Amino acid sequence: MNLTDTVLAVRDLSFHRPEGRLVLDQVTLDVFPNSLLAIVGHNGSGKTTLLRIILDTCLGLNTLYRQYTGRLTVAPRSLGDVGYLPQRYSESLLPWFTVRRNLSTMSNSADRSIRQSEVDAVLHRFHVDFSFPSARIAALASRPAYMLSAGEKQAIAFTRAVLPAPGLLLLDEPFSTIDRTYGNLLVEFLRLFQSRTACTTLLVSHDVVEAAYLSDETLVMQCGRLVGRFPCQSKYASKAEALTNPAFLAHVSEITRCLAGAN
Amino acid sequence: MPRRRELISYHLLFGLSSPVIVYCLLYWILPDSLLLKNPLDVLFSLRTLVRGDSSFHIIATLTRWLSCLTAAVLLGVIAGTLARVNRHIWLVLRPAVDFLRSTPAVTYAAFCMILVPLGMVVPVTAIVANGTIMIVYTALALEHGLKQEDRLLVARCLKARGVRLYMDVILPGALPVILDGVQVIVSLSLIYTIMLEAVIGGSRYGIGVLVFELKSALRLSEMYALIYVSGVLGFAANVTFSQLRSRLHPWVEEGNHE
Repeated sequence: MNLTDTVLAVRDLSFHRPEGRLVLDQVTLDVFPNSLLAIVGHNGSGKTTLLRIILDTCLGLNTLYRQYTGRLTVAPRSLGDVGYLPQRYSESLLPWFTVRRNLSTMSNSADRSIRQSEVDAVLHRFHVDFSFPSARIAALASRPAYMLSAGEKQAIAFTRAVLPAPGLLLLDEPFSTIDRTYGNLLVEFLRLFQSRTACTTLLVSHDVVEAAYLSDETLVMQCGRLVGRFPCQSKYASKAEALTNPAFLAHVSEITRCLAGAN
Repeated sequence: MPRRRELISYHLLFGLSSPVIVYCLLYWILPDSLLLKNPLDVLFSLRTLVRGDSSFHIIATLTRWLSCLTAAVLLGVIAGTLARVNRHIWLVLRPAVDFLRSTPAVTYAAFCMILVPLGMVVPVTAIVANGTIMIVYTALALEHGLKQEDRLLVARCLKARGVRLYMDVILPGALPVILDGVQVIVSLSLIYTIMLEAVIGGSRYGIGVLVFELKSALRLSEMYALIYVSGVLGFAANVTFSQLRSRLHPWVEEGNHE
């Protein structure tokens, strides 16, 4: 495999839980630079575990998630340059700090670090450059994180993952509790951000429409295996346009059928 | 649904009045008992305790208690943190710490008497006894802090390392459990201090000294008043600390998401 072409190369990756349950079974996939790969699947199909194995490898952590078999190769430029939004987003925020402090990076010396005092400016820049819906986040900036609602917490966790503009973005159900209107704005932002930066994204989602609309390729997982690959045929100007396009709807229904079959 | 402030008022009122009610009931049931003094006499003795020489005893115990408490918290948090820096060191040390904190303080006060001047036996024993409890709580708290899997992962993505990771993520996450430990030793250190004052001696002043002097002199009204005062001290400290800790980690108090 040629690492100049891929950000991430996974070959025959299998992973057993300590109690012996097989969670990932011979998973093989390539993630190319500046692409967005979506993974859909039912609960317990191994999506989050796959994301976690990739994350721990990128961060060089020696955890039980590294005890897989098979091969996982990360391009050197992506090692340590990761943005992560966990499924349990609420438990990833630091409730003892304000939203602004949560959005700043935790090292002022690292590349693309964001100091607390710079958060508002970065939010504004994201608004100008990528149409990031920053007004709602900016309004919450001084509030302690524990006072936020579930949807607000998820929006903050998402913002925190993208704000340092990492090379690799790992998003686990990023919009699951955000209200539809704001969620759609964030989806459009992610699409623009993805296309204008060198960011590579892995998105885990239960929303097939969202996954199909955002991604270059949608993978379907079942019981730890990849059972379907659906490359996106064309890009659409907006979600509304995509939803009225028969080709997109056929694409979505193909993925949905595969998911239903997986069930 | 009663408001929080009303609940606190009820807690305070009932907590402070219940021993008085029980005493009055006992006195009403057994009016001729030699051991029970008229509740009004006990009430007036309270004034004597606060105003007279006895106040030196109360102040001495208060000073000893608060300084021992502060020292035990500092000792426990620092030693607990150092012990927990490395998992293997903690696994080696833990049995010894568990043994120490399970040993009744009075028994190793005897050992302290050999090592330190008599006047220092009470504070040293109280500090060691409470400090070991705090070590265990701190180590458990840091274990809790280190289990904040998602926070630590995201912090690493945000380039947190070393002291910054400890101060911003691990320690605040561990704070509720550390404060659980402080809550436990707030009362316990008062109990140890008074008990050791009474048993070990080595000081002319202290509630533990006075309560036995009053008993020996059969000044029972004052003795009951002093028992009540020591109870009030412990109760007030507990309630105050409970109030304080809800301000120290409002994210746990408010709720719900932790």
